[in-house]
Amino acid sequence: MNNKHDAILDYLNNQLSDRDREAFEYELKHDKELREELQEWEELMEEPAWLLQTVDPPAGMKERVLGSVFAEDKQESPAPKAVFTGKKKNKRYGLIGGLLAAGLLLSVGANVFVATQLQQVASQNEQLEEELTSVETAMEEQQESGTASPVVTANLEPAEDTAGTGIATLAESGNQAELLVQAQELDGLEGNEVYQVWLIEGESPIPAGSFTTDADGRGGSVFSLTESAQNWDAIAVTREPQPDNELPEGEVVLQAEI
Amino acid sequence: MSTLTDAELYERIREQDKEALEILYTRYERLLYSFSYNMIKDKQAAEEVMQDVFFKLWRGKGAGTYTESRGKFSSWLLTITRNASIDHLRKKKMEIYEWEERDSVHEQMPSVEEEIENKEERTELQAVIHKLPDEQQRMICLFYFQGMSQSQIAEACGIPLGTVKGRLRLALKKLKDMVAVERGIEIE
Repeated sequence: MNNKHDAILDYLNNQLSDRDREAFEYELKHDKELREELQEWEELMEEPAWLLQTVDPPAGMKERVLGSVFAEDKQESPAPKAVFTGKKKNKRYGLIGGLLAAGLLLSVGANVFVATQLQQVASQNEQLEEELTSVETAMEEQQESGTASPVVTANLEPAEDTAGTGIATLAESGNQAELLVQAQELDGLEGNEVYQVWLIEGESPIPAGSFTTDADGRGGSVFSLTESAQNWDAIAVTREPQPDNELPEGEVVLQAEI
Repeated sequence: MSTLTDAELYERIREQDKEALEILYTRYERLLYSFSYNMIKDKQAAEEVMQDVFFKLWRGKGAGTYTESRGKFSSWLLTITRNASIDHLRKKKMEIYEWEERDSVHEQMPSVEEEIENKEERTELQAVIHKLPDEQQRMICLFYFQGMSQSQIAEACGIPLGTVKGRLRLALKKLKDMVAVERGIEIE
């Protein structure tokens, strides 16, 4: 479909490819007119549904459906907080793997940023997850038996009333650790503002570094850490009025438990 | 909590409030299940669609993310259910008609009445749809009940692709107005 408005019908009927659907949903987020047109179609389509002959739900369906939803959710994410989608990898990797991860991810990210069309941005988070999987596979291949180190990946989720998503990866060897943060759909910065990354142990935030965003709200960096990756409880990204703050002044924008 | 609006319940669901999800489920169980069943005609599959829809709601990500900018919650929820139902049909390869074959042998195409009546238990809506001109009936049937793509509808109806959207919108607007009248009469 050349015109995004022409894709509405196929979006409503789930006839778009995954890529086109993600691109359409990206446009929806940024195009008020398109959103309003979709709403109009959805409301047009809702009305007939109320005249459909109702069918009695099977006995016990409620318990089965909700039981399954809660049980499946429990398996997927044992953490009690909704914002946490991180997962710990028990596999052990060498430092070379961690560096390779950062290099690969940044390389892929840069290619995405420069070469792709706007539509692809919508699927970036999923792409990043896929890329991380590829990176981790590559890391496994590069594994050195004597230099074991855990890797933690976590999805950075937006805090309340904020925009953006991202992925954080921690890799380490001995006392050295690398933190890779990649984020997108962040609000634009002004003046000297930066997005600052914090590693949190208990209630103590330790600054890891900061990054700025491009015109489309994308940014990230690799930070070298001096402490073990196993000490941290969470990662947070705040919007700070200037770089190199020792303690956060701004609001939390993205966060994840690790 | 049962007096909360849909949007308020959804916000609580975002905070992993199980009771809120249960209330929302109870509120929409019959509508969504009936809607899905009317599309799929398979009780087990319709239940699987319900599970899919409520899992998306509970996770609150991707297709399960609702914001007020998306308009009415109930419309959005029906779209999610509709997509899950169509997806199920596609996955199970339960194509209702072989459209290419039908298009090439036009005289063998079932009438609009047959198409609609093939979906039994639709009598009330069927009665309203029958009041529309034939072409509009057919377009609604192909789009709304069969979940066809825009190009498939153009091909099946023998009309230019660029005219599908405008004609369908007109048909759905008329249907919406007629349904509203029917529902108004019922309420009175």
